[in-house]
Amino acid sequence: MILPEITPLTAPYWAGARERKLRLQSCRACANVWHPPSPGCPRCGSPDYQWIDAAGTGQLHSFAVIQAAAHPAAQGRLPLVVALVRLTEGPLFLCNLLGCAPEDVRVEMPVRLDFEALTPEIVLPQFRPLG
Amino acid sequence: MPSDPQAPGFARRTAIVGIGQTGYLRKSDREEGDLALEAVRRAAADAGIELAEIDGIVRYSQDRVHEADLAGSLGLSLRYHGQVGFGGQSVCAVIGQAAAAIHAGLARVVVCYRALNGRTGARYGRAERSLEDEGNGVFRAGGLRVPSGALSAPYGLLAPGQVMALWARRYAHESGIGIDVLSSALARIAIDQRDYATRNPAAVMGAKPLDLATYQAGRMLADPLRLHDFCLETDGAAALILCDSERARSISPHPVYVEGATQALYAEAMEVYSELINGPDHRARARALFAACGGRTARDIDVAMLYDATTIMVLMQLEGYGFALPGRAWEAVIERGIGVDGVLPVNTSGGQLSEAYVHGMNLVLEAVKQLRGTATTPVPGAQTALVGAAGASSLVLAR
Repeated sequence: MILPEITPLTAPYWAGARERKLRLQSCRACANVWHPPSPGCPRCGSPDYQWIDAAGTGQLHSFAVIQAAAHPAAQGRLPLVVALVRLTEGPLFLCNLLGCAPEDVRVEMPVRLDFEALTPEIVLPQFRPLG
Repeated sequence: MPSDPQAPGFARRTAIVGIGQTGYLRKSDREEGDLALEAVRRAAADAGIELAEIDGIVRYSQDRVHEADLAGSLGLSLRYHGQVGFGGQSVCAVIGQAAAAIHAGLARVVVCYRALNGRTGARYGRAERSLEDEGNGVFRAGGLRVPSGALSAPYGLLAPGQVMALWARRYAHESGIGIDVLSSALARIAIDQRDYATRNPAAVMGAKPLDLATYQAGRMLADPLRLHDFCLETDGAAALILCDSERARSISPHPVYVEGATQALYAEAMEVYSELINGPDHRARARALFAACGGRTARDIDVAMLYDATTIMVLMQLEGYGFALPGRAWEAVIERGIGVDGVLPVNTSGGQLSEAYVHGMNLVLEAVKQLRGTATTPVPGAQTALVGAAGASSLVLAR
């Protein structure tokens, strides 16, 4: 099992995931919404941001079907669909696509947010096909 | 976007006068420091200079051979040393900083090197070096970089080539082609580079010609990328030596001039969160670089070494550097390939797919060989060469 290191910057993100929310940073200065987390707005550089809850919808931007593990800890999960989702809020989000056979995945398919608990503390935001 | 600054007068003020490489092997049975030493000694011998003349070192920060150890082992007295961050994407920036240091008078003779046991040591196609083993089958991923960071490793995205599979799928989508057509273009790149390798005695895969059936039978590693879409893992080292042009002309029968270099910290660099394929910025920066090199355009590039961690990188860079229209490189490659008579001769040593994976330094050496006329598959009349690392760093060299 591969677990994320949680830092002061990402703690609100992971706390949100435990509550089954996908949290994104939103700039108070320019209203930009971004992911992955960073201490300043990637558009205007302002450090003044708030965490917002994503709507949990989006479209599949791209995907890869991992068929050879680059680490023993990933071996048992193959084949694995790694997906990039274009969130309705704008940012791209990296995840797995759950509930969909690799041969049925299509670029631009609509997807919705779901969650996968790795441990009681670590919950991964994930996506699955809409409907 | 600001245009890339390049001081007037930088072009052709420095030159590469020496190149050196070790054998490229799957198993060197030698320490990386030893490999670096051999490559640097060979480069100095090739340049016809005494080791003691080297007064500068620029290297990849990822190289495990420390500049102090190298300087100590060679008896060098340094006036300048520098490191460039990140991996192969910085290869051209390493050369660019060496040229800039000489141009600024900080050093006279600078050596650049990359030494790695990429097969028997740290393997860049794997994630063992990136994850902390906490025991009981638990591994911890830190940092937010992709792949193998805290927001990618838990999802199983662990290697650069897997990221490029995401690029490849998106490229096909945005270009309006199916994966079967994409695969035809990628196969052509792998096959043409292997063809170059069969004429290169130094190439790891030189004795193994590749045909379409073998490519198609290759194991899918990260769909849509197969075995032969991926670069090699190699133990070896490569080095080169630069000095000012006046000195270069006095000691070398074939100095290779640095026309221009760029170093960006930019979306093309192992990126998934912004645009996945070459955007307008990459093309604009490439045009600006060529223009800064004596008013050149992409048409003036006779041969290119395009960073090839995977085949899809080559395809995308043909568009990013302006050798093919956006979204059309697949078509040009399927029709004409990347051989000597192709769209453009690319990675003419076999590249990192078929010669060796030395984090791009072997690509720079091949560009020098082309301009000297000593390449194993020479491009007739080659005057100008591009080394491109996906727009993150770029280098134009000329006779």
